[in-house]
Amino acid sequence: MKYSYNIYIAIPLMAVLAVVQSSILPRFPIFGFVPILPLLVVVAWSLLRSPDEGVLWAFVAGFFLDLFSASPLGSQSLAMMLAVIAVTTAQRSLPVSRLWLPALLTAAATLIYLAVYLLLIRLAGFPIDWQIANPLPQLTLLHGFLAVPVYWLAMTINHRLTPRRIEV
Amino acid sequence: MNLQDLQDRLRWALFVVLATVALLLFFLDSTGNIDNLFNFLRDPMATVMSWTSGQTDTVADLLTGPRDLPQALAQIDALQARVDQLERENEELREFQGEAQILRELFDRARETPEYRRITANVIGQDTSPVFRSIIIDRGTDDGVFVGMPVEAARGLVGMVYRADRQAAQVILITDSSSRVSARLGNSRATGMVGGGGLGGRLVMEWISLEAGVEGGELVATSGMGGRFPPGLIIGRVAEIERREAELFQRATVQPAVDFTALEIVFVITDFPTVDTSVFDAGTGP
Repeated sequence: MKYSYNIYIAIPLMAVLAVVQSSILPRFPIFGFVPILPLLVVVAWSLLRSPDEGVLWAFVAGFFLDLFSASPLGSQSLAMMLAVIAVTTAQRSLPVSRLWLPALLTAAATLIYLAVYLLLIRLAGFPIDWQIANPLPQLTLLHGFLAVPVYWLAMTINHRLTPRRIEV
Repeated sequence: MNLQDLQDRLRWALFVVLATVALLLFFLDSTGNIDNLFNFLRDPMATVMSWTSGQTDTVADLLTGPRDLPQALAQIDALQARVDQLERENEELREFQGEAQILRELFDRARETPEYRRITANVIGQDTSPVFRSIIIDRGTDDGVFVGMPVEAARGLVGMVYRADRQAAQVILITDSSSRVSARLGNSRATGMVGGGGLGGRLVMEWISLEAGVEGGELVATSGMGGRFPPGLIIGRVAEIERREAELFQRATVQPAVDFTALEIVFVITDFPTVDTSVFDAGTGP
């Protein structure tokens, strides 16, 4: 397992993304929905790198998101980690594609994340009005669309960070 | 054991460790045992958020402003016409000023609630979760803001302080599913509980007696029962009434008075008089 320095990037990056998620994105909703940017980044990075890094990034992202939420600390970490594990496992058995696969897997990750998260906060004793599930399909669809540019950006950064191999 | 097996085992070990830590945090936070950790981590980030929020306002204003010169000129013309009209109206209004002054003093006297102590707070963030509806304000325990304090805006009740750090606090909105506010209707004087409906931003008033003649457009305000909120804070207006013969109570959908998507400044009510119920706590039994 090669985590190298990526965890040192994940902590400040996710802290910044959590601030952006809380204070900037709600001002600029897309079709009335606020995408969960840290989730998009975590899924893209997991698909590009490895499930190990993905799980680590998911833990950090969820932790910072919970700092700015009424949900109990750790709930979004757990939900995001399970989503990452599920989609990276599914990725192995799917054909390689750089366009539709990230979109599809990000949408799937969003659904898993939301399902686990709702279950956890219900377990924590928070009442849930299930009407909140109504706009979630649209949010999932939006994440699917946004996954493509996020994945492309993550791929560009990954190329720059990863040293190229030269066969002699 | 080959290298692949080892990697798989390490991968699962990592997941188990992180999941255990997350679960531990989940249980500790659910039982309110890691408030100090919250203070330590969120306070410095709240400072960053205050700055970010201010910059976002500027950018948002720029984006919603006129995009080109002809549009800006047209807007100037329209505004000039409006200024002319307002100046004319202003002259007329001066005549009524004396009368209005007396009426305003009467109104202020009736409206004043000197027994309430309020402090102003800027909204610096919103809940990162798609499920909860809460906001983050730039006042915390250092400013005298504590858990359980009611929060209102100019138009009405916003919510209640849910978490308070030294420099910031989280306010759960009345539209959140977990929120319950004891309320009273303006005309029929019937009481009930107003609860949030989550993402849609709607409110529902339940447990209204079937005998109460609830009308559409009726004002809904806090009743003060329970002592969590002072009485008379506006919540909204009745938008729709549901009466079912088979049920013992009726319910009403309430249109909130506050636009929760555009909250910028709120007031935290740090002190208000409550009814002394300590007599009921003492040993009153036979």
